[in-house]
Amino acid sequence: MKSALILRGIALTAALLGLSACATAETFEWGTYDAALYAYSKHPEQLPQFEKSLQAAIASGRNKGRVAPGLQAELGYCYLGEGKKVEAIAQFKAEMTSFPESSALMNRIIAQIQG
Amino acid sequence: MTFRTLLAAAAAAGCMALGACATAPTPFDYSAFKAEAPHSIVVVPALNNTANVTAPDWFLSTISQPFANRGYYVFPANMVRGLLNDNGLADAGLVHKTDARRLQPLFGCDTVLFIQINKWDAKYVLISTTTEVEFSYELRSCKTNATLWKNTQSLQYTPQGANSGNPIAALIADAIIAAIEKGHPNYMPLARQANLAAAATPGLGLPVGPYAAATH
Repeated sequence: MKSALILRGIALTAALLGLSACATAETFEWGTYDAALYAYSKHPEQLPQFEKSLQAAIASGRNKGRVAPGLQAELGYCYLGEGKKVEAIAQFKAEMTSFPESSALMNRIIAQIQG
Repeated sequence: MTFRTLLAAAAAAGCMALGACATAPTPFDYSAFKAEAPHSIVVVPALNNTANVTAPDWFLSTISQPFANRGYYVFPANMVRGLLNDNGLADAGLVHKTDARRLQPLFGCDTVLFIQINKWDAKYVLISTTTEVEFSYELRSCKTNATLWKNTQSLQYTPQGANSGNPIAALIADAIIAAIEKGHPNYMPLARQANLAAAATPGLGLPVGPYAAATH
């Protein structure tokens, strides 16, 4: 009985793992972005954890040459909310370099910060 | 059966379930999409048609990854939410009535993805809990406001009881699993799976974008 339950627990977890394994096409390095954003959306006091998750995903993405779209901007936006303007601008510039599609938005935000 | 085989079997089952969604009835007409060949997507907050008030915030975290992995620049979800709030567009109902062309000056985006949450609930019936989600997706051009792509995904998940050969034990185990599922419904894996199916189902999802890895 007990072992059957454990086995079922394993199977359930494995099924979910299998699902997420399929879901993670390795185009970009996301780290724990979705789980951290989920937690942060639910509990705004978890901003530090969200930041740490972003920092780790970005560092790992840079190593592999596949930083995910938006992560550097998300981190910059966290910094901006904390009044860390220099750090924020650095992240916004990095996002723009990685993804030129973000240039209009990043330039506008940087101009606002500096203005 | 070893633990490893069990894992592999379960993973394969997960992938097969996913693959099963991939059978396309009628391919989508991509002519409008291909004429614009967009590079970037702003996902605005989902319009919530359910009674679950927290659904949109939870949903937000699952949306960037599958669409970006398809090869598109997806704007930062949390930053977009913040900027919309700053611009008086905090209300999803309002954003969803907004012409996509109005968001272009704000983000410099090629397209806007409007998502509606139609179902997001867990039904507890006797000894099993079924978690059910349904989303509809509409991608509109920031140049013309025309619809470039549409899709709907409806998924449900019911934890399966193992056949232990002992009906009483199975009943108790089912009740325990159902209670766990009710307390912590598996919305996030379901939302992830729905978004992946919407983005990447051949013939119905988004065509592969400029950032897609060579292998995709």
